[in-house]
Amino acid sequence: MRSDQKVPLSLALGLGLAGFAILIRSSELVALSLPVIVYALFLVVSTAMLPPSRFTVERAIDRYRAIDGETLCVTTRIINRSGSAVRIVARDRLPAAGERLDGEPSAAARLAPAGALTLSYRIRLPRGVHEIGSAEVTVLAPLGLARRASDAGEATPVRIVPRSAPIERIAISPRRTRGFAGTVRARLGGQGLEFFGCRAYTPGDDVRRINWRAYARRDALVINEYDIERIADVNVIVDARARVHLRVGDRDTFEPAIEAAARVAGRLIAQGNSVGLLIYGDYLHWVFPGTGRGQHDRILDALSDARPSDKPAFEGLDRLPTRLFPPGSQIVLVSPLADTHDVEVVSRLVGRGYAVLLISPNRASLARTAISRDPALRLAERIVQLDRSISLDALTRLGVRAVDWDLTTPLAEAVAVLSRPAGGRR
Amino acid sequence: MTIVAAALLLGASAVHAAGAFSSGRPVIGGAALAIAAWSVASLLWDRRGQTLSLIVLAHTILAATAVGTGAAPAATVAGLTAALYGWDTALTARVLASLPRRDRRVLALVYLRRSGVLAILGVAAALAAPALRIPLGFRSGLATALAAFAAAALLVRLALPPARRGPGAKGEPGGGTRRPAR
Repeated sequence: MRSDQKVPLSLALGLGLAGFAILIRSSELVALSLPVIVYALFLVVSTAMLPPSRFTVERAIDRYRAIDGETLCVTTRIINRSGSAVRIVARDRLPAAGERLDGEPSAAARLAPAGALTLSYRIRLPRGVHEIGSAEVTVLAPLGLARRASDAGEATPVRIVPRSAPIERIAISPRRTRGFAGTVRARLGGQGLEFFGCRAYTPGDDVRRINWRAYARRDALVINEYDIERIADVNVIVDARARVHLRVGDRDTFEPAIEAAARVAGRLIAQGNSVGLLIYGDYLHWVFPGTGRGQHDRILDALSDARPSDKPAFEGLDRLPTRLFPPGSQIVLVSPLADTHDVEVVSRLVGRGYAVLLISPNRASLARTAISRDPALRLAERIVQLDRSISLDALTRLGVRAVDWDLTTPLAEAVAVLSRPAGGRR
Repeated sequence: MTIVAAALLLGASAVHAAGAFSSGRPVIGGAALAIAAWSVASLLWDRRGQTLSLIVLAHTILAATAVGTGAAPAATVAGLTAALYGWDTALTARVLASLPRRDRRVLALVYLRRSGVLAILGVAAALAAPALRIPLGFRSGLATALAAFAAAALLVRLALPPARRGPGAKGEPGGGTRRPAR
């Protein structure tokens, strides 16, 4: 509960001035103090007449977890429990990042006992975890001069998760897969769809798989084998180091990276894989791998919290906790890549037997939208782009599937190349 | 309302400055002009209200100095009242700022009307005061002083919000005694 500071200040001013006037026996000063004293008197009487601030707040939001870009309809009812009629000014505390679309989060009204004031509005919030704060209710005194502000109700948390619109199938080929049937080729002969090879017939083999053409040539029974398709362990790593991301105006490379991670993770989960998430930046935020819709929601929740950070401990990518990732599993790294050191770290991951898929939002493509037609700047941008191409080519030669994502094109278009099993850089 | 507050604070400074320059006190006049600039700056940039309180304090000191050095009391009283009125208006404007335009307009008009009446009352009291002559002896003077002190204490108690009146207040949480938890 907060009262105006003007009551004690005006009292101090009026009484101080009057006291000083009496002390120096100045009738003019006494007269001067009278307006202040009259004002203070009215304030004190008004404050004493203020009814107690007792309100209950009922807030309803059409959803407490929304997708980035969706609107939220908020309705807050402030009910007068003071037992007497009050005139109030009420205001819902909206998150600073919010954008109000329509309706009013504040209003003034005279409330009868048990009467209610309803604030109804629609807002749009960016990705993140936000709080619609407790309602600020200011009770106005009958004379209109004094007032008392208080907080009523509780803050309401709202989570805005990144957009995760579906993208095309992503073909991955890790060295190791898990024992359950899925969509990832396990590089093992058995029952599947894709042809894997031939071997000599052994009793018990399915006669329908006998390769009769080979039998005609070799006079020995040969059977066809097909690639077994299983699920794989996939860990999506989001590079949240502030130093690798670029912001130009109101656009940056971090939000596209989050969107890419959300959509790729969603796609891989939809393909039946066990997908985990690691956010590398402020701290190591790891979502244990899992499958199904619940896991997708857990990943989206974690991504909604992600913020770029410049912690010195995570300056390089070499602090990646690779022991968290099963040997031979698939790693999807979403990073603009800062320098050759990052490239080295990625190549080391390949050396350890991980299958690495790199989705790299192109910082130069973002900068290009902002730089002028100055030939020197254009030349600088070309040099940066060439340097980046050399790094990505080196990674591609090592077996990394790299997607150089020009941010002027949609993600779905950029990752369309991943629907084919063969590696290669777009 | 912010414009009205600015006009009132500037008007207060102008009255002080005019009175000071016309009675040959350039230092007080200069101080009044400086306060005018300060008022405008605080209304535009300060969002907390502390600066506005300091401005009212400065106006009071300026008015007391002007009266003490022989300036016209009527103009000084009007200036100080305008400063108080402006200060209150600026604080109220901040409370009403978040309201929809229609609500804000209604409340602002009611507020300005009521506080305008109060300002006129204050100025009238100040102007009528010199006409009052109350003969006081030692005893009556002492009794009046004690009554004034008691009234001031009562005012302070009334001005405090209920939660700060201490535990035990009727109907307030924390009233009564409670055995400490073991």
